[in-house]
Amino acid sequence: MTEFALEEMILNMGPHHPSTHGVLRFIVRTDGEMMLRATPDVGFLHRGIEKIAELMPYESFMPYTDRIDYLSSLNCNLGYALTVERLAGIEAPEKAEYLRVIGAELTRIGSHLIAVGALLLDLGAVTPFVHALRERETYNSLMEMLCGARLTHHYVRIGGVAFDAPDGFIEKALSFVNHLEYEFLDEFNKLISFNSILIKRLANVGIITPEKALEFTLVGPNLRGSGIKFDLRKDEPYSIYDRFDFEIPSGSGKFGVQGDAYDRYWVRIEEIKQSCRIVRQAINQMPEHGEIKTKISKPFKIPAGEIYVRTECPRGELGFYLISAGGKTPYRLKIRTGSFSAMTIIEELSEGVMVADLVAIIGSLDVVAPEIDR
Amino acid sequence: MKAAAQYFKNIWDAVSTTAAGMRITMKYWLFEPSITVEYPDRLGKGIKAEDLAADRYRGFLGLNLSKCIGCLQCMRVCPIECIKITTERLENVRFITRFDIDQSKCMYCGLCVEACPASALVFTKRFEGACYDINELCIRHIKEAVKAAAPKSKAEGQNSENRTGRINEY
Repeated sequence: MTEFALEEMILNMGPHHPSTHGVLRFIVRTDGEMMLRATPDVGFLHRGIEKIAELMPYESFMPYTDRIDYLSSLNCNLGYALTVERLAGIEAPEKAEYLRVIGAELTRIGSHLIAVGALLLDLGAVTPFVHALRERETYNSLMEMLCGARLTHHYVRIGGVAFDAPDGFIEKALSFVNHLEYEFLDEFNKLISFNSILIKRLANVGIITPEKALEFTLVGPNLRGSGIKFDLRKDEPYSIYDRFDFEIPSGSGKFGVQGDAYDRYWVRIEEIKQSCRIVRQAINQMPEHGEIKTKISKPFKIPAGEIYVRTECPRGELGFYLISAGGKTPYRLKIRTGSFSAMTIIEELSEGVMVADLVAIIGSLDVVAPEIDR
Repeated sequence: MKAAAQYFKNIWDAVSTTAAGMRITMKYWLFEPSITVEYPDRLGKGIKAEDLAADRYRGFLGLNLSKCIGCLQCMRVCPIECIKITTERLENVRFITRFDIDQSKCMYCGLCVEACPASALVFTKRFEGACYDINELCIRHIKEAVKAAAPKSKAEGQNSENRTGRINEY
């Protein structure tokens, strides 16, 4: 054996590690500071949500969709509600659709704030994380006003939404998005995004070429970070997203190569801006009065059939595949989430990088552990 | 020479961009008031944390027994079965003999409150549920059998002392 022979060490990262965003384990084969391969071990947060869906009425499963991805619970509500509505042939009233979009886009803002904040926290920048959380606090109080819960909103119902917007909500939401777009993001970018140490940590790290992104079926901001402009809100509009004017940000190699960790980070910052635009347009277009919920039959039954509906969540495409046999409960509900496909590429990206870069890669892919396992 | 210039440029970039960030940090540290408060004793005089919650806040479930008609709809709609109600019929009068809500199980989804036709079940703003025994969170709203209200009756709040009736053993 020569002096410089490969000396492998197997390192266990997780299940409880601050940078894994939940209970998630990586088996890391290292040689000194270099990493040969990091194999993710998922399943610690498996709760059997798909099986639970088969055991209860359609309406009662709605709170469980909050728990698929707790950072974007309203988007998950919306996806499930649209799936059931399309199969049952129900249409939500106009005003409910606007309230759904406002809620969903605010949730997207809140989720992206956590995503960028947590990525920076993992890299060791604590201050920007607190700045992001400060803004998220406003979002939390807004949702508390709207639906009474700060994290697991359970706001969308089959056939509409639970409550109308309370007094003062619209004004507060408007001032929140204006503050975000015109004040906070500029300050945040000055604070950290253009910091040259951060750029050194993120640029040219974890490069995903467009071909590779398609190969691994990446979705959402991770796919757009590689330069592919695919957004279900634009390409396959659901709800009333075809009425709004917004752009799809995509990675262009701002400080490094296209598809690196910085691009994915930057796409999320830009998406916050676009979500602010959508919220502002939705508030302007929303009718003052109107129904917020279509009455559904009780007990609620769906004619036999099957449907697959996909919606754009902050973590990418969230698909519900629903089979109904005509009863009160689904025959089968399959949930496809974005974090799971993001998880598959980590093994490929981790070959031959430094151990510290693994944290940047995981953070930039923005995986949420409960969404992987469901 | 070029490498040396790049070396010093890198240092300058790191220092100048960090200084720009530090200026913002200093601004918040020195000139902006703190946005956090210390819970629970620094909220202000006479202010309870519950008062700061929004009107629709989904806290512990409260029951107005004088309105409850014993229809069991909340029990049926609950996805995790944390509400247990039993009713008995005695000489054509319906009595509610048990109304337990296990707040330690409850996930505060609000389906039961929506299902209640008499609006007897409501959300309170109470959220502090810390206790030494988890069974204390199983709140028994009925100590002894209570006559169920007639459907659609508009009698209000006469039995209010029963509303917070709590027994600590389970």
